[in-house]
Amino acid sequence: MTSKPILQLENVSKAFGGTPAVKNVSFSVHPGEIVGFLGPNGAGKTTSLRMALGYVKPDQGQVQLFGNQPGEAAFGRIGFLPEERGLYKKQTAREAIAHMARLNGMKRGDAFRTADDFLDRYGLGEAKRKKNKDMSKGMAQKVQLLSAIAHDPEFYVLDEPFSGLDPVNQGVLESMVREIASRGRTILFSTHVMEHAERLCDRIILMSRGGKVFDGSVEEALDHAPRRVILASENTGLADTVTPFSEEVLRRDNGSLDILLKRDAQTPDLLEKCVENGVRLTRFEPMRASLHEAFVALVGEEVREDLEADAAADAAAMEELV
Amino acid sequence: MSMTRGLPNWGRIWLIAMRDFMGYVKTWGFWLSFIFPVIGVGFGVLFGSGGIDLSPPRYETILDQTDYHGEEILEFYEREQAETMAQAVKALASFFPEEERDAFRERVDENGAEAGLAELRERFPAAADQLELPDRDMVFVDPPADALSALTPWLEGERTLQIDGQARKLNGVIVIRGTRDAPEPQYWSRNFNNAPAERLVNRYLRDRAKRTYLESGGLTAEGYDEALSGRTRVDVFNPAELYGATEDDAESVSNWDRLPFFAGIGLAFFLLMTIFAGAFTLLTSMIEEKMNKLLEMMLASTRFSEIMLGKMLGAALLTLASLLPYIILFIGGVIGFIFFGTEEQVAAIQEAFPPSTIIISLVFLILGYVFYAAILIALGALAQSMQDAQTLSFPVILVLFMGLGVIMTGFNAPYSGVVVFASIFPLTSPFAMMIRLASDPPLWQVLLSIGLLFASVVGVMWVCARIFRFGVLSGSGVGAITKWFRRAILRKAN
Repeated sequence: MTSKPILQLENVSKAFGGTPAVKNVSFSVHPGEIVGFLGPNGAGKTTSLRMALGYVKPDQGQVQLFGNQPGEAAFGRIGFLPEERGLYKKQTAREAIAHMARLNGMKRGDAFRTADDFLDRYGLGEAKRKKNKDMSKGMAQKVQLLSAIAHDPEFYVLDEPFSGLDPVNQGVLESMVREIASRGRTILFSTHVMEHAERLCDRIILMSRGGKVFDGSVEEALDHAPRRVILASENTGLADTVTPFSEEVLRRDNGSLDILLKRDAQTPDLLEKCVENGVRLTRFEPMRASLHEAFVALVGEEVREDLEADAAADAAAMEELV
Repeated sequence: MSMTRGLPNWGRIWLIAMRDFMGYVKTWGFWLSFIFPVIGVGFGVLFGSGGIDLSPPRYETILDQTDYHGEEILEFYEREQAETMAQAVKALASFFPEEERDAFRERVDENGAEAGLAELRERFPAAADQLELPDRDMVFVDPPADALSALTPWLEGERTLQIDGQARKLNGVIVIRGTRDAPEPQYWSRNFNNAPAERLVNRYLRDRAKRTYLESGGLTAEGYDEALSGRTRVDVFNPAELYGATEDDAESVSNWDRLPFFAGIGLAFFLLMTIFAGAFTLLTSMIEEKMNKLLEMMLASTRFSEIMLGKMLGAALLTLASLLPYIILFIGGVIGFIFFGTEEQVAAIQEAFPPSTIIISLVFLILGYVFYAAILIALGALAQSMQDAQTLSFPVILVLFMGLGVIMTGFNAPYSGVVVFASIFPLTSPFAMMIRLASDPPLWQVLLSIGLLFASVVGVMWVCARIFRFGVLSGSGVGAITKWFRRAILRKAN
């Protein structure tokens, strides 16, 4: 990237009560990028975002937002949706959106016109004058997001925007993010759900236990993921053939082999060896690695438990929503 | 960080204030309290025009076994009533021009209240409808039965008296046993919380004891009373006042001269009420804000200090709006006195509210409010529930009660050491100095008090802004402060 970064964190650290929350983290976000900020709960994502916005002062390191220290110079240029969010219950949807837009510098008339326009555009036209307390959770979350973006900022910072949404509304939110990105806006969003990042991001930053463990494209991250191939054969000799290529071999109930390839092993070589050894394959299925697997590979097994705990919590929350 | 630099944006502060203000103004509770004075006046008019008496006379009777004291008590009551009515009518002498007032009072003393009232009605027919004697608090009736036990059904409300064709409840019975020289009075009633008949009998017995004692020495009670009423009185002067308080005209130092002191008390109470009302608004507003979880989103476009100031301004506006009917009544009253009052009254009002007092009072009002509001908003930011808020605000409420104590002390002794200290000590200076302003305190004390209060406001705002920031971002409550105290101050591990 040659353009001047919108956000730059350099060797930033922060501790609370002697417990480190963020350790020596550096990254930057450039104009027009969609950057996913990933990691399990407690990885230091929210603290990093708060330091990025100037809410919390880092103990060490430098933060630059739009080329300056974070603060008033960036007011009106940022749309921030925090992880903990809500609405004034007695306000209507249009009042809520217009209020935040006015705080971001819009004139009263423009703010209400924009609020009405956004509500119509995102399917909430009939809820304009509905009080926030009377709205469903999904509707309220859409209104919260619209409140954060109504002033059409240059830089969107969304902290766990998908949390608490049912699958349908997660899809709606994904399309909103894509629509914002299509207008050339810059987006930094944190999530602990890797699938969203895989689908949306140009670049991902992986955090674990307060530190940055990866910064690059999704494809680059997937290169770190272990590669698996599922093989099945009618005759014997398959297991012996694959062993030199395998880190781990699991036999499935249907008799097929689930092979975790060694780092230097290549699937064409494996296929060639099978042919050479006369193994007649009935199944040869290279598995696409997931970001989740890449993450585990990058951070090590100890973080797997954090991720699994998050996944279990998400599943429970989703059951409640669906 | 640049977030802490530069001047606050008043547009954003106003937006936050108005959001809070309108949030409360749209509630039923606000409008009920707003129209309360109107409702009060409405009830007053309704009761007045409908002839509804809020304190109807009590029907009492006397069972007298001495054949003497019953009649004497009734006569004593009649004399008291005549004197009360005469005083009430004499109080209306202000209708007359000043030079005629004494003569009118003498005529009332001579001819009685009814005659005085008739004269007033004749001279001032436009106000005749308003000129009425106050109702008696008791009506004595003949006993409906001859014995106390037989009166029980009336006292219990099972039977009623028939007075002018209407059923009336017998409130109580004065029973006088014993002899003429050694009466043994009792008062029987189901309603003894407020028993004017009992007090009447006590006054009668005191008067009788006085007469008996004086007569034993060859004196009369009338002579004693006359000597008392003709006693020399001390003339009151105030060298700092002056609408006509001279040695030749000492009487011009009247209750109106005390108006500046009352005005000081009024302003101190106004501040106290504003803080009390604002305190609860701020606390509930902060709890609501934490529950609504919007603050963090707002911080992307607003400074912490702007949110704090906006909330304080919103609560102040709300309190002022709640008190608006009373403020209008007060200002209307002052204007009414200025246009229709006597020279003495106008001079007293001007003395009570000179521009310097108004400006200094406003300074103390604003600084005092900001001082306490900043503390309360910080405590609100730490609270996670109304219970937390009440617990946290309790010490502040105690300090405010100290302010109330200062107000009471300051009225009686504006120069006492405690009040002088309280008028300089920042926690109590807004209340105490407002009261002392009527006594023209030394300028250096006023300036020192303002300086200290201003410095305290800056310090409190600085500390409270940090507590507010911590409360908003951490989402944690009092426990976090305790942990911090243990870790940072006591140097203990968590």
